[in-house]
Amino acid sequence: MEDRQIINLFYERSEQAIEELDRKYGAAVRNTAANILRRTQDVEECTNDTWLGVWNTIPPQNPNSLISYVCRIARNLASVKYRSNTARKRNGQFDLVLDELAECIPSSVNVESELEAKELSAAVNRFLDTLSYEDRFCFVRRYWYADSVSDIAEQINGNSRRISVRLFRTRERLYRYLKEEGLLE
Amino acid sequence: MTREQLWDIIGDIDDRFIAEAAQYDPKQRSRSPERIGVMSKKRLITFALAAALILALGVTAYAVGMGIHRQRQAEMRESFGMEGGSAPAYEEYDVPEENTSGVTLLSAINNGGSQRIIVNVAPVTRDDLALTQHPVMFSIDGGQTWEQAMTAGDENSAYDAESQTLTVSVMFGTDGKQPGEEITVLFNVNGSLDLGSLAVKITDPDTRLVQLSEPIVLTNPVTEKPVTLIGMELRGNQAIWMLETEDAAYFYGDHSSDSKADAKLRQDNIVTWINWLDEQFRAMKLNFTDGSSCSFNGHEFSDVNGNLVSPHVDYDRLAIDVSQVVSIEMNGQTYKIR
Repeated sequence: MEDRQIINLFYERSEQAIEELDRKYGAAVRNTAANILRRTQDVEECTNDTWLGVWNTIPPQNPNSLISYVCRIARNLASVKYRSNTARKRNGQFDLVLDELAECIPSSVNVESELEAKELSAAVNRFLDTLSYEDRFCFVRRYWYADSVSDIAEQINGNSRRISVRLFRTRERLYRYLKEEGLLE
Repeated sequence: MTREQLWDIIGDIDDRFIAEAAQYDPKQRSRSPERIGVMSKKRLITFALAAALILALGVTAYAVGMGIHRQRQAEMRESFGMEGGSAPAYEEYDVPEENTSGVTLLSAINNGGSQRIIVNVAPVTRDDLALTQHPVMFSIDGGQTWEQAMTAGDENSAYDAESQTLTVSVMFGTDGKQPGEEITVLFNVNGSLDLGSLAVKITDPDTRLVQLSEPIVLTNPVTEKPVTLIGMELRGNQAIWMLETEDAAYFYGDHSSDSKADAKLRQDNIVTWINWLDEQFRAMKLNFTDGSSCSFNGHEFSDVNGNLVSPHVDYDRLAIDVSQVVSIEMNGQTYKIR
C-alpha cells in the first residue's frame, strides 16, 4: 500500500492503518530498535510504542516521508529506553557507535542550549549534503540507524574493512568540517 | 558534551537522509567503483587547497585577456607543477578562446580503472550555488541516475561570476572499456537546466609495476612485527603499495564475533595502524630522471590478499609520468627501482 493511503487510514482512524504500517515498515522499525536495544522484549515494546506514537500524532501530523517519521519515533523511544536500562541490559555494539561519534566532536564541546544543538544539527545536515551517496548511506546507517559495520557491508554488497575505513575517513571529514564552520574550538 | 547528546544531534538530521538510507539503492551509486567516490573527494580537497593557494598568491594574472577555459587549464597546470603533456595519463583539450555557455571539456586523466574529467559549466547562477554546494549534476551513457559533480575547488576559486562558469570534476569507472572508446556524459544544473551531453574518449592509462632494489623493512607500531615494502604499482595519479605483514588478518579480517572489549581494542589499533601507514607514505618521495621529486598524501583504502596489503596512495599532485621515476626515498635512504 502506498504511504499516502496508509496516512489516509490514520486520518480515518481505521485500525487497519497500524496493520498496514507494520506490514510495510515493521521490519525497519524493529531493526532500528534492535540496533539500540539488546533484548527482544524491549524491541517489541518499543515497536508497539512506536505504532501508538504514530496513532497519536497522525493526525494532525501529515509526514512527507512516512518511513523517516516512524523510524525517527522508534529511534527516539529506543534511545530513551536505552538510557533507562541498567548496564546489564546495555548493548555493547551500540556503545561502540556512540564512542565512534564522540571522535567527531570532543567531549570538551558544550552544547548548553537547544539553539546550539540545532546549529550543530544544521551543520551535520550541510555536511551530509557534501558526501557522495555511498558515504552518506554508510554514515547514516551507522550513526542514525546504528547498524553494525558488517550489516552495512552486507547491504551494499561491500567489504567490512573498507566500510570501517570509509567511516573513519568520514568522521575525520566531519570533524574538520565542523571545525571550519567554527563550531569546534 | 555527552555521547548521548551527540546521538541526539545526529538524530535531528533531515528526513530525506533517513529515507534515502532506509534502503540501499545501487542505481544511486556512481558507476565508478566504490573507491573512486572516495578518491574524488580527496582530490576535491587537494583542488580546494591548490586553488586557494592560487588565489592567495595572486596567480590570477591569467585572468587578464584570457578566457575562462584557458585560465582554468593554466591554473591547474600551475597548481600541480605540471606542464601540459608532462604526464601521459593527463590529457588537456583545445578550448575556445572566448567564454562559452554549455559544457566545455578542459582535461582528463585516466587512472587505470577510472577516469576523471574536468569541465567548465555555464551558466550557473549565484542562485544555483545558493541551493546546494554542488549544483552541477551528471549522468553517464544516458543513465537515469544523476550524480552531483564535485566542484573543483571552493566556490571562490571554482566559480567565475562574470561568465557564470563553474569548474567541476566528474569521475567514472573505465573497467571493460578500451582507450579510444567513447562515453557520453549528460549535464544539468540543479536538475532543472539541461546543458546537453559531452562525448568523452577513454584516454590511455599510464601504469608501471616497480620492484625495489632491496625491500624496505618497517616495524608495525601495534604488534612490533616487520612490515616489508616489496614494491608498488605506479599509476598516473596514484600509487598502489605492496606491503607484506603477518598482521593483515588482524587489521582487515572479519572480527564481528569480537567481544565489546576486543572490538574496541581492535578499533583503536586499526586507527593507530592507519595513521602510521599515512605517516610512512608522507615520509616517502619519488625521484624523477630530471632531478625533481614528488611526495605522497595519505592513503584511501587497501586491498588485501593473504599477507599482502596494498594501500592506494595519492600523489601530492594531479599526475606524474610513471616512466620517469628512477628511485624512492624514505627515511634518508634512496632505493633504486626497476
